[in-house]
Amino acid sequence: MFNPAKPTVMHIDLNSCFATIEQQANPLLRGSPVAVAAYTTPRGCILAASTEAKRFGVKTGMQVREGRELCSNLVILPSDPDKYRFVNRKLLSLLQTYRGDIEVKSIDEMVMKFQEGDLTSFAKEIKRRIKEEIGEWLTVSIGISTNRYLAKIASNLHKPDGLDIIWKENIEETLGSLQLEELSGIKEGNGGRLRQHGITTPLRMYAASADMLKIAFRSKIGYDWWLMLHGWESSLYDYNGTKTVGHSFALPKPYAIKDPRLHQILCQLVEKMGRRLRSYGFAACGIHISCLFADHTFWNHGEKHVHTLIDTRDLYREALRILLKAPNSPVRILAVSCFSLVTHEQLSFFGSSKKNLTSALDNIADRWGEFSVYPARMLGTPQKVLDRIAFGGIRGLDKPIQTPLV
Amino acid sequence: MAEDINEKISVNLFNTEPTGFFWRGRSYNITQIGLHHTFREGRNLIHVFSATDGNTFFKLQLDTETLQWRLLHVQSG
Repeated sequence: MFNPAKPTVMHIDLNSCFATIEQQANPLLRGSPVAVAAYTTPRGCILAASTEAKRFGVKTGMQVREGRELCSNLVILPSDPDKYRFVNRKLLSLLQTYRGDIEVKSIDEMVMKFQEGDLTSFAKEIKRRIKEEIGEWLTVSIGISTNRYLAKIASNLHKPDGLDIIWKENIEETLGSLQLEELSGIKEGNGGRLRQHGITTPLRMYAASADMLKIAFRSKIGYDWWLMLHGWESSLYDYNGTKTVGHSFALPKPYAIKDPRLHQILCQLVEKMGRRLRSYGFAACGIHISCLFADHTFWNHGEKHVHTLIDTRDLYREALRILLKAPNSPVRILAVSCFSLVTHEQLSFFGSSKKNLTSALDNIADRWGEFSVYPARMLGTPQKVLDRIAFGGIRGLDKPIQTPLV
Repeated sequence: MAEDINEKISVNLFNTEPTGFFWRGRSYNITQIGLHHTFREGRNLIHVFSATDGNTFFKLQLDTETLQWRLLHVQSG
């Protein structure tokens, strides 16, 4: 049975986030096809396309070259993470003026749970206030439902600037208008599993019993899917806390595993990872390295340690030791992450002198900026690791922006 | 055409927002600020104004520690 409660969950999705923010910043680009790319070179990956660019078929994940083939006058811009974080926090500050619980899902998605009130009126007011208080070019698609999953589905129904509600009265009509893979979380793998059991449409999935879905998914998550499609909350959609902290970097020019220039990049990645790890109050017991090579082969390896790691030098030493186990081929994408996280309070092997030094270095970076003090091995680093915003859920975006003090 | 500049400039202000600036012997009037955003470099608060004179896009930056204005970027056409 579909959840009979009133819809109290709102999903807010900033349309074509990075590209629209660039058009907000530069009024001369409004109405033009714009794409934000990791690199503006022909092989750079497109991170976001404006509504105008999407009409030409330009999509996230395409190469710049492919985007230009579809749209010859496509304007390609580099990513400006500070700008996007600022807008994200302005939006968070705006939403915090409402009496609802807010969850920041990603740089362009937020979820609000209300106890009561007319959510449609709130949604219209939020749309108006975003234009007045953040930027007149920015639009959001808002979905409302009885749970977070269906609210997200509702927010995807009409883009840009949509406002849709999914509840008991229209659930079948709404699901009837969608393809299986248009459901968030259903891609080729899950779609194939469902089709093997005759579940070829979202409507058939909705009509299937929880037991049938468990069989189709070959897992108890089938029950979670049943709950979500029937408007009930499921733990499948919960944020389970930080399990890993890491960074990756796509090299414009591949370097072999033993090339010192690759080690300098690893050093930068580890510096950034260590700063974030400590700022979250964690230390790590494990390090994981993955490499995508120029010939498109992939290698990854992780190791867990008896001792906890928190100092950047220790993290780098372990990361390098693992990296040197990889085949000595040219690397295109290098990623490092730490796992098996423990809180500072659980640390027992962490000497006070090392703790004091690490803390002092972090204080210098807090005061003077990142990489104010850096390891000597980074001297003369030819390639800087650029600031990036991760796809998906992000920590550190849950604080509202503070009023700037000139 | 887009060009990174990163040069010191002098700026006219009204109510803490730039209305024009002087660069390489020429003055420019700002007709619209698309976005004013801030970020921190360490503890320093940096203001960035994305602005236009109607024909050209400019990115201006104010460092609140040094009170120095810089023209970061120009994009025309």
